[in-house]
Amino acid sequence: MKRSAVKPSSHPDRAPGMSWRDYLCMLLGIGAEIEHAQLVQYLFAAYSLGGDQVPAAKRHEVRRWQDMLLTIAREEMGHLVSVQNLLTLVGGPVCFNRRNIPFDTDYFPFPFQLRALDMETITRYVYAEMPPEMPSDASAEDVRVANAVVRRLKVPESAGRVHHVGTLYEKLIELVGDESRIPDETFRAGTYGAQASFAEWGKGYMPETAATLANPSLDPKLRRPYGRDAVAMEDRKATVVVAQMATRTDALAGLRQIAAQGEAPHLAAANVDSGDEPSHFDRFAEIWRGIEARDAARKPWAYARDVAANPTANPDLRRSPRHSWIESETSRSWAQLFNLRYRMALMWMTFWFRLSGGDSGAASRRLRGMVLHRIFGEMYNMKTCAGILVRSPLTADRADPRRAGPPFEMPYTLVLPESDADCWVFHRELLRESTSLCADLLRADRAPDSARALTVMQAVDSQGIEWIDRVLAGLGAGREGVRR
Amino acid sequence: MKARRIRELRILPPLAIGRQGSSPRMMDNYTLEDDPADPTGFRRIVPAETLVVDDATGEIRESFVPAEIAFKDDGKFRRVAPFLEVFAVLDPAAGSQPDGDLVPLTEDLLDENGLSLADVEWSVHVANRKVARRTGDEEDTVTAKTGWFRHHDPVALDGHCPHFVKDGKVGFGSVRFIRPNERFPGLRLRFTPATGLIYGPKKPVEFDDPGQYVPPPELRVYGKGNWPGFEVPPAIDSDEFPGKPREYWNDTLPPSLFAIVPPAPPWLYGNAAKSRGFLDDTCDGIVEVRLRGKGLSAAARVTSGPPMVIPDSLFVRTLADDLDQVLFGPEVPADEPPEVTRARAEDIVRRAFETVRFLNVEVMNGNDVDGRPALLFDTMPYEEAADTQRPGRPIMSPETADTAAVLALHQQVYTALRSGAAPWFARLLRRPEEAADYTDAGRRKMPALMIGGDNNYLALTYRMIDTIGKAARAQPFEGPIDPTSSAEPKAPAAPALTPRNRSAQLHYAAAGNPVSSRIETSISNCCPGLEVDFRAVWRRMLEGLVLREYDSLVVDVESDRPALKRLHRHRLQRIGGIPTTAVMRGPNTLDPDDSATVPYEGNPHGLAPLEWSNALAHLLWKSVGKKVVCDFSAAEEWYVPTPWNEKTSISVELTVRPFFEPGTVVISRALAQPGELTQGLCSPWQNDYRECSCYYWASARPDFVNVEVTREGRSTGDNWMQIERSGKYVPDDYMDARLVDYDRLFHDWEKWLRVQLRGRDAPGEAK
Repeated sequence: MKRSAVKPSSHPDRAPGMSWRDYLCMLLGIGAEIEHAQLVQYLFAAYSLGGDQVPAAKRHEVRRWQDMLLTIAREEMGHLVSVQNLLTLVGGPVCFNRRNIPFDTDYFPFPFQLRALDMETITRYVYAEMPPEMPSDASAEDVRVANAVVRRLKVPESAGRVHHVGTLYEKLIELVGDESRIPDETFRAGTYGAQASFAEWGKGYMPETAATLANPSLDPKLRRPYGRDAVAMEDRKATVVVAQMATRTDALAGLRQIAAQGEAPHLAAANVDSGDEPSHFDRFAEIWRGIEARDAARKPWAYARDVAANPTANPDLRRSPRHSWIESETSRSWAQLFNLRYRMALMWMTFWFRLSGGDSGAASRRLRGMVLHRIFGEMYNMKTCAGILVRSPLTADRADPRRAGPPFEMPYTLVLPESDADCWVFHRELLRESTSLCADLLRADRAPDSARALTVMQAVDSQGIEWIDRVLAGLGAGREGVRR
Repeated sequence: MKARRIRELRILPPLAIGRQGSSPRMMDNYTLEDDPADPTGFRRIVPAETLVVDDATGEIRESFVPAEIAFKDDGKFRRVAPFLEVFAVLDPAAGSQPDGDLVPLTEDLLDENGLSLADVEWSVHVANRKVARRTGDEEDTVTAKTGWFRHHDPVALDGHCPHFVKDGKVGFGSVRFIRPNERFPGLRLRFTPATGLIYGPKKPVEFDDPGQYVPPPELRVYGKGNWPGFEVPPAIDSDEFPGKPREYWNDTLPPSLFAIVPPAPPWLYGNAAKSRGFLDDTCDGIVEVRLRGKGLSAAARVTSGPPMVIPDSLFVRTLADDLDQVLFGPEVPADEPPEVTRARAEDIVRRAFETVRFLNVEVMNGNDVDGRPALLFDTMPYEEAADTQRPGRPIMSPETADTAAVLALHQQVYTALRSGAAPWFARLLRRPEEAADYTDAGRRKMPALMIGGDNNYLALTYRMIDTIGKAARAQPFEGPIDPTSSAEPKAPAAPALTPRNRSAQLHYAAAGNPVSSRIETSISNCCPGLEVDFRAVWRRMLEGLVLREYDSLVVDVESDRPALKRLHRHRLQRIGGIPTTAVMRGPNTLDPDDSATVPYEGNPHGLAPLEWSNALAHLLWKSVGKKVVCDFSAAEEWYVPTPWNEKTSISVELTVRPFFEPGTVVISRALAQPGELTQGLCSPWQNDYRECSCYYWASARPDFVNVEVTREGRSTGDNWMQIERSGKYVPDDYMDARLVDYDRLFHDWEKWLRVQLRGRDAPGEAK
């Protein structure tokens, strides 16, 4: 397939008064936002899959699609964190921000939208993660999918609407590699320890060490795990890249590693073997083929729940044609709870990098270990709320089959207060708000799964509040955070 | 009405646990329930109907529900004395079940079958083989046999031993055939364990320590054998004698798990371990009942062990998990209702955080402690460093290792599960065959920080792993939520107690028995264990051979199979093609993303034995009663194992023995004789609470108690073994005088095993 016909769109150039380092930080900020946006969209699509209408014979396939989407989302999370590491390395501000729905820039692969998985969304995902030029050794099937995707998106007519993420990474690699614009002193090797590491953030998502397969007592014919969870072993092929960097060389390697994993496989370092890990393109293409087959079936079956696009709990958007207002009060409360937990996750991540800063003392560095657990805890809480939301009604009309979904609405700010004590007070307030929302929901939502989750969430939040009380006491701050 | 003809008998529960204590009062009945108001909190201890046996008549005089549950009286533990009930399998023609009803045996039923109470006979045979297991001398077995009896008086379980002094005995407790009455007509026997005395040699082993425990004269019963002063031949596990060939010895693991002449523990002092000749008064064995003249009989097992010191928490892997795997196989059946699987998945996660709660995660992770190197303290990273002879290193990032934080994370996982979200962490569970994966990725798998029955990192059973996997596979296909309806999905009916429902029999809760008598409260990552050394049950799984409980060495050949004598001291390398060992893999020192085999001088192939319970799970399920091809090492290799070699290994077809007695869930007598299920445990068991650290059984032998969060946001608390409660954790290093030592435990174990309620010292225990 020849893709050279697709003209690259224009990208923001360095503005007057902007240093090259500043420009690099801006591009990295855009990169972070792209990774964040993709992560969120893939998660939304993954959560939309399933439902009790999926025929029993198709459930294995749907589960596999969901696993693949979640795996890619995890890997995007690794990319997002790696970009923060690079920002830290060059002395830029970490960036977990993201604009709300819908938005578009020249670097974005496609306009951001939260949509249940369907042919249109998967087509965009395939396009965004496919190489600009299909390699000469690509299989005929891959080429067929790629061509079909291009046809569906009406490329090049839509050029400028749907792009490759790799374009940004090409620019970043070019800039970081240019000593004349980004001199060596830009790279602050001393921040290495303050950056996120795989040990802390990777959660074990790395290639297996093949301990089982190394066993010489295992008959070659039996070189597979026992039992039927070979699928789980397949899932172990996920690789979360968390690139820690000290030098320009590390930075380039990190960027290439991220690019190679998904957005721009053609940018991979020549000497890096990705092993048998399927690329994002491979995974999306498999889902694409599955949906294509389903669409062609005599009796198409529904693989996703009827989740509303771009759900919102923001009253200002209740009449927005691009949003789906969550009219059901109970579902809207869940959406607000989801947004709150999303906000907490983002705030904790931002705070983690603050605590990791080069000037932070040993106590701060110890606390960041605790904060890391809270970050992952919030991810579990988001999963809880999202799982409830995709099963909950969008409207109060019982005949309306549409379901709500996780809105992923950004808070008004992710900027932290200046003092650590105020940050802790802020986190505690969010926990208190969550407890209050849980209490309201417990009164409103009588569904057993909801009640079971809410009671535990409340209990864990109460412990979190007590924990922050202790930390604040240690900081010499009173219960309201004012330093004594 | 058709006559209810008795076809078979059963005793339920099939395995009952007695727990020791010296209070004259028996433990009241209680059960554990979730607290709806505190779903991540401790389990609620709920008093239940307690049966009171009349000392004079032997009948149940009354029952009552206590207002609250006391675990000690005046500092003395109440014993857990379980009842074992007799059930009759009726002729199908008379009942509702196609395979006949399973009903309590009563005098009325006896009468219907032309029998009376006088036709019911009991026999109990228990033993303590701990000393015999170490010395290899069968004359060191302490045995109590009641013979058949019909009366309702207590029958003492007096343990006798050829090596005891004249009239010397060890009291294992007693049994009593409870006289049925109108209110409690069912036939039952009560097993009352001993109080927890420590016996010793007629002539105490002398050494210079004024604080030492010396058994009082009436407990100095051991006279003739070699137990006092016994030493494991040092050459089996050390290189301290250059030129001296390693000596074959069928040692246990750990090899010196008994009270020794100080200094202890032996591995800190050149592996010198000289026995003080102590014995305890625990036992295990068989209870039988029969109906005279009818040829009907049934059996069950009893065992006795230490009290539960954390009665409101359960361990992540219990004996019930392992027995369920034997009974149902390593996989969850496809037709199990999803809500049942999900509930079990939730329970596993709950037990995981109940276990984490009592681990000082920061220390157990292998972090340095207040600047002191981590290798000073006994932890799983230390164990790994010793096994692989490589430098120790923390398991997870040191900054993230904190009990309260890790606990909260587990609880958030629990939140998600309870909402119906799919368990997404199946891939992070350690698979049993990966237990010796010492790469960072391998060591960080769950469950973390703890040891398994094979001395490697603890894995769950295959069945538990598949439970999590199946719960995940059932997702994401939950139906829509209706916020206006609180209707629960229709719960499947509780499985009926029928002759065919062996699960219901295995988990049967007999009237009056506290939950602590049940297999759900017995730890199973036996290395070696507290109530039962579950490793021991696999030794005779293959007809004709006796294997060592902890690895693949053939230590004996049954006398009726002389042709197998050639396999003595060889290694069983594979069964049905399944390896009995794993390869120890560690990080590649040149490439942190790669791994390498971890060989060392004493183990050049880097082979680590795998625990039988999981290693045999797939085979056992398919091959009971069938022949399987077993591959053995070409030569004797009792010390250095080698991997299977297609060209040289010896292949023999052997028959897999049934695990349970026919039609029942009683562990087969062909697999373990009385005393063999506890023979690998510590002698005396009190020694083990000092010898083993909490990474063995955190929620049975806790480490971290009275935990609070510091002003630095980190967890702090007391070491459970700390003499003075200060809130400042004293790391467990065996030599610190601030910790309870061996002899304190021997003198007054009931004082030092402090009961924990809601994670804190129970009232009165802190002193």
